[in-house]
Amino acid sequence: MTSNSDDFLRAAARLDGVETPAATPATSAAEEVEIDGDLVWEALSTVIDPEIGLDIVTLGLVYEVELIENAVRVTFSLTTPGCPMEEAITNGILNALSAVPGVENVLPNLVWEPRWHPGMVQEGAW
Amino acid sequence: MSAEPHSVPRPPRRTVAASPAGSPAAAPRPAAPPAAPFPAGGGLVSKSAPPLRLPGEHFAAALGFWLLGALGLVWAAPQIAQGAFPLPRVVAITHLFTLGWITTTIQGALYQFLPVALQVPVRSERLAHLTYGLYVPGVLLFVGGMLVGLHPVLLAGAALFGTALLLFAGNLVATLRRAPERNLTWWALAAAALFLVTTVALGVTLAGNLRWNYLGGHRFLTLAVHLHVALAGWVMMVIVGVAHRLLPMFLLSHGASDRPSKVSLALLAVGVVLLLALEHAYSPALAWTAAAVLGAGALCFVAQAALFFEHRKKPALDPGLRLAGVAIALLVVALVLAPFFLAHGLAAPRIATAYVLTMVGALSLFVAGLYYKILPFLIWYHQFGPLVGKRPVPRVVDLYAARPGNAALVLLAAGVLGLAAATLAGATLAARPAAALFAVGAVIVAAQMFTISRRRPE
Repeated sequence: MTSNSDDFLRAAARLDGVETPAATPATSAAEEVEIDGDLVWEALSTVIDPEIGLDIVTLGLVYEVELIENAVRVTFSLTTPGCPMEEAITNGILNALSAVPGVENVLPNLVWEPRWHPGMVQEGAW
Repeated sequence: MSAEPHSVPRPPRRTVAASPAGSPAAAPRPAAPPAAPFPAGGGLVSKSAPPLRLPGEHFAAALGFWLLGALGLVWAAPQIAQGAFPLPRVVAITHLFTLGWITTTIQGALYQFLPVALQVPVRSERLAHLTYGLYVPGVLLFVGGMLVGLHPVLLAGAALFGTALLLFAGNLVATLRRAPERNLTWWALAAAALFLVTTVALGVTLAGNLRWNYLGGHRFLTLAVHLHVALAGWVMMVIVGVAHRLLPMFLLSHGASDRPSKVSLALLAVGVVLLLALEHAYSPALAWTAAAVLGAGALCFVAQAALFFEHRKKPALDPGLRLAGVAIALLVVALVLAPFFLAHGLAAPRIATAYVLTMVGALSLFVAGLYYKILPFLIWYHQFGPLVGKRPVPRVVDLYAARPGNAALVLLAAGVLGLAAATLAGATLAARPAAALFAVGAVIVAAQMFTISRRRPE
């Protein structure tokens, strides 16, 4: 597994028709592997914020998951722009998604807009 | 993890083959996050946080001072209940809490917190270690010299820790200068650094007076100003600035106004300046004005904390947050005693002692509450953080048992209130059992922190 934005962008470009699948032989093999989106979300829900005690999905920190061939881009935020837990959660996302069948590339995409707030926590989390 | 995996809403099954032509397959997020103002939040670890050793050595020393102070409280309880606050042993024990417990903790915690709050790491880690190396022996010599009546030792200790605090303030100011943003926390820490230096200057003046007695009858006023500049200008200022960031994060508070923090900061700063004016031109009117302004500043902080608690999304409170809540309640008790202290002054030494005891007790408990948040988090981050996503990891609160923590809270609060009540009543016989309650609570806190520091993945 790699976490390389170039890989992801190349995969996106192929889907956009900029680059044909035939031009990259590895693509045909990758297309045979189907990534289960549910499994991706389940894997992400194993990544916890230790202080709050909830996983990043329940916390509403994961804004979007995009699947492109064998790549996954996870757009997420953290509870503060001061970057607490940035390394641990980013690595947690990489670790968790590396175990999902079919996932070969992961691009964690940390964003600060929209800013997270406690109102984004799923109802009934406690 | 507290949430079951199946409780997480699942997006529709998406595959590459099912995606619309020419676009990535998007597995939608469970709920669209609305744009909203970010609450005053904070954190404990950032990429530029120092190695664990720097805050760790401070916390270890502080916990040692905490235990010594608690034992000293039991030893000196009868004298405290008599209101004998000028006694060397009472002064020494007070400094075990103010210098040893509170200030050592603040230094260690700020080294960890600065990168998060200000987006810059501490200016010099090397200087921070040097500061620690001067500070801890300095406090020990100062307290020891005071207890045995050896003025040269006391003065040597004061010189050591005084130098250390000046170095710390310089390091803090150098860090603040590099901060990209000047938020409320920045201003609070800037004011705190200034008043820390002022506190040291007043303390050195008082320490020298023990040897050369140049203050004469003025010494009690200087003592009162020194104490209040330290508690309101240094400790409270740091607490207001740090709590403004950390309390909303720990409580998951959302939508609370932070105006009380701003007002509190301004009032505390003005109040401390009035106090300093008092040192040079005393008048009862000025004293009452300074006290009123400081009291209002402290009450604004209480109001801010109440707002954060009221707006919290996290229903359950862990021992750390409970301790913080009880500490704030004790602060209110101290504020109730303050006018009586000011009205009677030295004519009612037991009131003065009870007031100071409650104030220092409140701030000490607030610091103890901080330990239940920061130490488990740091241990988790360094020991369990790398395992996230690979295997189940505990939550921070799973690193210690809540029940002993809650028991410690009850004992500590009962100890402070019991000793204060015994002092107000002059009940010397009741003072020692009350202090013993506090000491048992302190031992539980220290034992839990030691256990937490040893936690490792199985």
